[in-house]
Amino acid sequence: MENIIEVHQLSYQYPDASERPALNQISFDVRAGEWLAIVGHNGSGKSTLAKAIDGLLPFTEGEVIVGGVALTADTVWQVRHQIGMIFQNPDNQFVGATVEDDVAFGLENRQVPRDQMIKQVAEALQRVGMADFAQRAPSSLSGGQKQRVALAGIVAVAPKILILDEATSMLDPQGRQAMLALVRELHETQHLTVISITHDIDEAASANRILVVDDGRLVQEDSPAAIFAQGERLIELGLDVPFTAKLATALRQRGITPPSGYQTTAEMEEWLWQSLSNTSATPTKPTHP
Amino acid sequence: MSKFLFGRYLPLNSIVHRLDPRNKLLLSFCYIILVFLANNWLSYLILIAFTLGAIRASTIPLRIFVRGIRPLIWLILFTVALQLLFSPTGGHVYFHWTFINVTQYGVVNAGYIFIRFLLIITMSTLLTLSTQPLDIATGLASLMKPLRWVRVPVDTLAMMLSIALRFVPTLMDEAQKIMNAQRARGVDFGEGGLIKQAKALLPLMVPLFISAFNRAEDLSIAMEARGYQDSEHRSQYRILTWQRRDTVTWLIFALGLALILICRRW
Repeated sequence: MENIIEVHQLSYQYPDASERPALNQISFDVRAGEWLAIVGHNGSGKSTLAKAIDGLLPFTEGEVIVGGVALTADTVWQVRHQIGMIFQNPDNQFVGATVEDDVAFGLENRQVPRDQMIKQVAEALQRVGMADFAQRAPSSLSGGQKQRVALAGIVAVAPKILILDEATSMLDPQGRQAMLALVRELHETQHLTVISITHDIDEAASANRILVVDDGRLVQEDSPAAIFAQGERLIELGLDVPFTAKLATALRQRGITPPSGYQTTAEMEEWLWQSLSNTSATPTKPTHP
Repeated sequence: MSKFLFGRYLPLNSIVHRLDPRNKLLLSFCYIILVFLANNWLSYLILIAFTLGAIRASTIPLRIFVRGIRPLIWLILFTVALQLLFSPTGGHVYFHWTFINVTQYGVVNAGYIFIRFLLIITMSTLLTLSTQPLDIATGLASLMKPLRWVRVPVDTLAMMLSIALRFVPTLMDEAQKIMNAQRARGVDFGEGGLIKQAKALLPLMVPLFISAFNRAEDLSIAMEARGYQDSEHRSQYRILTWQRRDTVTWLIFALGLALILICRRW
């Protein structure tokens, strides 16, 4: 697969901060159709990285190439039209007075004619399951619903790349699950390239690859399985420990050794079944003193 | 707050509700001119008839208007009283004491002013009750279009207006939240002397402003990320359509105007 985003030696320093740079010589590629998660501590520079890729921050050094277009002051709109971004706070990125106005906002900016807009807005809302809410005002929606509307706004303009900048971090567990399921579906059906910046373990587990950013530097780049195998060090990296890893630790403390390395829930389930049905073949009741 | 009817919207589905908001704005504006054209009892009677007709067509119960006028009644009575007591001498003098003159001229004028107040308030309340704020904003933006020729940034103003309207409920919720949070920490709102009350507003206003600025920052970044560059080069999702019923309202208005002009000569 070709690279849809190439980042070379990207550096950025906030104008008011005199100390360390927010981004320090970061280089990585994203392949078309890939799901990439970027994780790191608060203040590690991961959100700055997302904004730099979209041209929302004028980086001091380095090069960003999106879909073959090098990001400069002249090409910034060409780059932005290929990228859809969802931010953290669902309330603060809602531009329209009603749901349908908000979904239409991106289309209006692209000067799409009105009859085409009406069709696309309806389709996008259908896609995210918000068609019944088209006339509603943002203040009457839940956080998860607002993020789904934000996603509809992106579906309507059909970009090649979707950047989730901690988009699920202010949602409740249900809202988060629903949102991720939607993104997963879009990723599969539309061959959308997804970059998710996150602390959420499920979101990171959905990725094909995880980048770990620390202090503005890229410190690690690996598959989710390899990253999750690091156990307690994950908390240092700004991630939670996956449930299966917690279970493995708890089992080890009780003298049972599960297979080393990261197990998905299905794998762990399978292993537990296997080992328990083996023991039940020769029934040994736990001996009570 | 809930007593004030002004600026509130009552969702019903009458013919007045379905009129083009531009039409309603223009009609309300021209109606005010009509009210000032009226100069005798017969012309006011015609105006009252037309106003009642408009209320009837909107299917909004009359008592809601009465409730809307109630908070303003003191202002109206104050103005009427001034007119009544301090009018210049003219016609028959009913009562005279040092500088207070109650004259025939004064009584008639006070009556006119009372009716004018009522008519204008009723009609503008009808406008806001039957039109969603968003539609008023869209209508205003559309009516301001000609100002482009004198270099007024109409599209940007329309964008500002729609963002302002969209954030009113959000900021209201926020204000309530901050107030409750500060109450939980021991701030008394609306208690004590004037200075103490004003000081208690500080822990509300400062966080509210800071939060509004943060929201503005987030919103502008999100807008840019969604491809917003210049308000002039955009297409429009929300479009108003002028229908036959809108034309009919102007025919009715023209009839009213003609009747009042005839009455003036009488």
